[in-house]
Amino acid sequence: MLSYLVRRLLYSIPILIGVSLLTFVLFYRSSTPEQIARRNLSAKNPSHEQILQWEKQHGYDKPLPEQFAKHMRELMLLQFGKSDSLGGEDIWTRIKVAGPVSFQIASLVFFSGLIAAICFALAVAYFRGTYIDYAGTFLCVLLMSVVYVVYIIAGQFILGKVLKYYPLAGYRFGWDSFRFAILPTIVGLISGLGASVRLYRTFLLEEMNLDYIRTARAKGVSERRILFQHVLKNASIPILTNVVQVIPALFLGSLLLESFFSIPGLGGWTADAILNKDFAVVRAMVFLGTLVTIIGYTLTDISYALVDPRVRLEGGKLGAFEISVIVLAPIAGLLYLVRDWPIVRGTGALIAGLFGALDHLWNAGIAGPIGGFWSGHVAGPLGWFWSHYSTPIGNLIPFVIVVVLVTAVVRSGREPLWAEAYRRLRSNPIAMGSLTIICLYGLVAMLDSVSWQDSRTARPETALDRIFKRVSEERTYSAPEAAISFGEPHPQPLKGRHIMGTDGNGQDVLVQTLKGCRTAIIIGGLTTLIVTPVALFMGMIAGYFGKRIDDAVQYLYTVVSSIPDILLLISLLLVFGRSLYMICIALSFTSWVGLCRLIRGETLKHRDREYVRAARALGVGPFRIMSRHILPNLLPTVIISATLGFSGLVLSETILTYLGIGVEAGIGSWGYMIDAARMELARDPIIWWNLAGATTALFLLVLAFNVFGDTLRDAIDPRLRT
Amino acid sequence: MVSTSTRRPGRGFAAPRACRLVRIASCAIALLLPAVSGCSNDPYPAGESATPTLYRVLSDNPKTLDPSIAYDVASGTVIDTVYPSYLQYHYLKRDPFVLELGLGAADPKREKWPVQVTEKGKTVTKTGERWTFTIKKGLHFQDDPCFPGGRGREIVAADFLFSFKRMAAPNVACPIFSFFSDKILGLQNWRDENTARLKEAKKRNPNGPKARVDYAADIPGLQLDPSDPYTFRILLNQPYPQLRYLMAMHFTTPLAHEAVDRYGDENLGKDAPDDQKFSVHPVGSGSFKVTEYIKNLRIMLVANPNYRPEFYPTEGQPGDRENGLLADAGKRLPLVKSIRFNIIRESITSFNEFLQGYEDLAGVSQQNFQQVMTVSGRLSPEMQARGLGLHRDKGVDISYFSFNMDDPTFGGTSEKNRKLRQAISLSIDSREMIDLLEQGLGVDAQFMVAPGLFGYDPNYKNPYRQFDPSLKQAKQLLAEAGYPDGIDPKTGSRLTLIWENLNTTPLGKQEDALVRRQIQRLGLNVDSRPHLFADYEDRLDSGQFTFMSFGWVADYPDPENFVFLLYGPNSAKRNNGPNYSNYANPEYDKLFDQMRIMDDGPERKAIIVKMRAIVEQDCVWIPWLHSETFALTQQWVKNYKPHPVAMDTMKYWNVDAPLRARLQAQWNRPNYWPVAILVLLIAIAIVPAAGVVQARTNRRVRRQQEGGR
Repeated sequence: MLSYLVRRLLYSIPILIGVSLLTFVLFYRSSTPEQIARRNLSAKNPSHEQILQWEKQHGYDKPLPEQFAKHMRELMLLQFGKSDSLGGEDIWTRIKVAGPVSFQIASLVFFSGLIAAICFALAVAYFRGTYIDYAGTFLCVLLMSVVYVVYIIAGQFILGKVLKYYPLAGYRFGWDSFRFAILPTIVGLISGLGASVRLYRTFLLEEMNLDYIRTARAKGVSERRILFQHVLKNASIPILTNVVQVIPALFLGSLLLESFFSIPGLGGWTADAILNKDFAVVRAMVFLGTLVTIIGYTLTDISYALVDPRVRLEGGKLGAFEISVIVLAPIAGLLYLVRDWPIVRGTGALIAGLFGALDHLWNAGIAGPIGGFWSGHVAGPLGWFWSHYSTPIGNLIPFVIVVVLVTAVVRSGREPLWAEAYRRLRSNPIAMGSLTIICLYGLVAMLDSVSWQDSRTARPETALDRIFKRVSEERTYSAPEAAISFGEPHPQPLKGRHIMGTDGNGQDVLVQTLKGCRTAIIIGGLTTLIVTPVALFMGMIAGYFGKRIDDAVQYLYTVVSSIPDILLLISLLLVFGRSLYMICIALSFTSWVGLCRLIRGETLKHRDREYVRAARALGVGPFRIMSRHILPNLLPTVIISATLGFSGLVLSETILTYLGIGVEAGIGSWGYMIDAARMELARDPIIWWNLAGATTALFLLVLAFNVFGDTLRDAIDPRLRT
Repeated sequence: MVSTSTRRPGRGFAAPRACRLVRIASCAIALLLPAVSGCSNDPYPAGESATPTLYRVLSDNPKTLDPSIAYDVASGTVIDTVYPSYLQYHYLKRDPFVLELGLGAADPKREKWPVQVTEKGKTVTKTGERWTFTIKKGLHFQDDPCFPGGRGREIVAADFLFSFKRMAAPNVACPIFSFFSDKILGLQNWRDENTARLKEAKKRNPNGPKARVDYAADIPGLQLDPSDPYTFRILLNQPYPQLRYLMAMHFTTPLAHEAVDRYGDENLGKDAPDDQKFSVHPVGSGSFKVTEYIKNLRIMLVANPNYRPEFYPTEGQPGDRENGLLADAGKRLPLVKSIRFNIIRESITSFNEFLQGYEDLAGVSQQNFQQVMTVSGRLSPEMQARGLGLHRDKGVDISYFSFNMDDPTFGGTSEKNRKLRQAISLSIDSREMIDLLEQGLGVDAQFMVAPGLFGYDPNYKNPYRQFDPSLKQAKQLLAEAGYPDGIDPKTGSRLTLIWENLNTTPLGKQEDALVRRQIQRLGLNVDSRPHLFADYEDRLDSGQFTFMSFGWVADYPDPENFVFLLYGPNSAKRNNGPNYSNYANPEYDKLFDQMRIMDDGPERKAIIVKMRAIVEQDCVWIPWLHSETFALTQQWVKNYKPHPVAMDTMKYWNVDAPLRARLQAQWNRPNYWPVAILVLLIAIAIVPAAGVVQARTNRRVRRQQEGGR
């Protein structure tokens, strides 16, 4: 145990360095110090001299490696310094005030959410196949499809206008704070419930079908005992694995919760810092977030050992790395203590000089020529290519997705395991129904991806546009089937009728909803297509080979997952620009981690099962074992994760739109429609049709994916065969 | 691993289960009771609403509370109550706005004065101006530990000059320093000397204590009267009538050097405690003082006992008496004892709190417009029943689109490009924009100067701002510019206008679609690029745009503050000025130099008309809106009258606190039955499930085999 903890502690150092390096690089790619200075100087038009002075004052004038070294040193010593923004408040002071507030809300949301999700998951898993299960699935998907903002507005409406129990917003320190925390907690709990219940249900079902449960039942163990002592205890490993992933997000509080309920926590502050390019705050928050995550992982491992007697925490023998760190750390500490001695100072100056020379070398010898080559020979042509062909390439994507799916189905259909599964699926009307719905969405997306121009000067129109060409465009909002416009001081007669009304720009909501399909399918589909193979590969090699490969993969995903998703997404999109495809790539970057962790864990479980050992004994190669033996056993988990992930991805578009970094204007997207609801729902009389259109479309798609995923999972699970 | 149970199923089951249910239920009730009973949705400490406290919402943290730096509305709202100035705007009078004495004892005396200026190495004598200011006697700063004994000391003329020097200090980023830098004698010199001094000190001893700005040095333009500590003079090298208005801004408030020494950010070491910095700990002499500031949550202000005797105005405009605005005439200010600013970012939240009675004021926006107003522009019956007051506020501002005059296709002075700009200007239907985006509120702008200011002409119609649905003239101009039907003959495809904007919010997206649709009617393509504010400012400052949209709110009610937005030497790209369009027309600049120093009169008006004609033909801007907003006040708020320029108005407001406490209690009675019904429903839903559990526990092995899985 002790050696395990020592090892953990040691490994946290490279992780912290990796995270800081990643933030540092991302930040410098997304904005120059001059921009940061301009942003944070109060003067309307700061002079060049003011900017230089500011950069000097905040240490942005030094060579990059030196800046990074300073940055690392300060972070490790928890010297966060002052915020870059106007007034330059002390970051640590602020954390001391805002941290506990965020922690209170986050832990309330976290624990109440965990308990509620497990209770519900137990209920739906236990009553599998009954009306409770179906109603549960329906409810969960509904909970998932409705976006955060709607819960917040509904929560404020119900508690504020109907029940009047708690304050709508604000915060007071001390015991009174719980009065202010209840509403955010309820909202946070409900909005996260759907996805967790769906996931935990899978984990529980997995356990419930195992032989020992049947044995226990046969022996007459009470249902309560089976459920709580056997199933729940054994399912808690995957649940715990999953729970840890939420920790960084929790630590930063919820950006939306804090801004809507005006809670003075870290979430709102960090989000502001990101948008205002306040690097000093961002780096401190990322660093702390990483620390908390590492502690979270360690605690998870310890709790693994507590719930599962098979798991032993062993550090093993210390390797060269550990020993070198143990030796070097006190020396570094000592050096720091005597940093004012002339000899140390001289060496420091020498090192700084070295850094300066390195930086110069980098700029003149490497970055300059490479940068020149990049912008001249690569970026230019690439940009030209992209600006000319991005639309056709984008239009290909729905087709690619369909082709990949069809190929996968046809190819796997030849294998006996899958052939049987398809036979069972075909006879299941619910599965076929949901498949049809998915296909319909795909069809609409494809229709919206085929476009042509009538003449050289005309704008290209897609097939979908042409189908709905006769739908008239109005001035502004109008209610479904209304005859006059809505929301204007002087309502005007409409040109035509609209089944689902029109939005603020007078566009037909039904058409807009259909046009959103393409974006949703591309974001969900492309990202899943990128994420799944990457996560499968990484997770399986990590789980199967263990040792250094496992360390490397774990290192990689710990680094990525320790940075709050939103920060990572914003930085990536600021760096790479924000087109639909960049959003997909950025989302892949953040979402492979969850799947990878899950697959690694599952692979670990299967690695030592008898059938794998037998295969190994027979001399089957590792990659063949992975693809032939382990992969089929992982598929149910992968499918469920992918379906849940798909809906999560489509939903995250909404959050990005809220942050102002969604898809470009002019592309139909449910994210925009739902984001507009922020204003529309707060209007009185309420404008519901725009939100209703997008949410219904989203709900149907997510429901279809979930139901299909469930039935498919049942179909390919050999244990459920009759 | 697997545990076995020796208990046989089915026996002795019912009784313990019932017990357990009761136990669980009682536990749940025990947990829920304190959560539900005695709960109140009052966000304030008990009883506070019954005290004369004003509740206001800020939609964001103030950027800073330092009066030499603050330049945003949220900051101004807070610190203008803390930092009074020499002159202030009369609370009730409008058209024109009237400046009255604040801290000043006499109106500033402005006289022509010969000054010695060094130009190109030679000393020449120019006609400048000398302004003499005399302040009231017996004014005191607020009590603060920075003063000896903690008691605020008397304010003298030197405190005013100190604040001018601080604006010029190299380590204080004053946003309006450029207004003074080339005018007050020796100020720029003093700044340069200090910059050099600080730099040298840093070079000599990089780790030593920070060098301080030499505030004791004499500046020829800022003079104290040796015989009278209450008089100071300002020497300008050119006439500058706008100085009068600047003396009514918080930048020129008297500052205590003790406070800056102790709290000033520029003097503090790295380890200074955060809550004691000048940017969060203002030390002023105004009607209120800040007692608590928690970011993202609240700012508390209480009445300053050291505030000078000031009384509610006894005269106003016609109609003010009828509206009850003179009921408190002659009473000592401030009328309320404290102010609580709640920092709430989401307008939905703050409006809901307003409807509950926990906020005293609210704005009317697109969101609540239909709930609050009727078609005829009156309060809706629902709101009338709540006794709300409705106040119309005409903003002194302008919203506009602008071309970049450095752009090869759309900018420049060539006839061809000018016609292109005129065509685009004609395609924008600002009436439609105002109807759809501003609920029909606001003035369809024709020129830069806002209504209510000298030089605004309600009868003027800009020929290129007259929208005609047939777009006949616009299309003709477009063809004359060489782009028939929007087709660029060089490429054979449509000309694309790249539009940089800030439209990332839902409302912004509506504006985005609307403007694109309007311009595209001409046949042009519009490529809209929304930015976050940070990136957007960078782009405008460095002139990286073709077409953009922006707004300007007046610093003071003088047309100069609007027309200088197109003054050549104010170019953003070249001189860091506010002229983002990079427009430079020598004729316009000459006229500006003339009108800037004139007094209001027919001559000044004539020049403004000439400038207008130039801007109209060049069509650099497409002005579209002078805003107009509505504000709502609760029935217990008294003396509210919106002032578009002055922000130090809260000292005049009053609240009927007992009425507020009574109505709050009446409007916020908790409603328990929905929760009771919910609990009941859950209980009913649990019953059949419990039945299934029982059945499964009791089932026999044989029956299970018969019934399948």
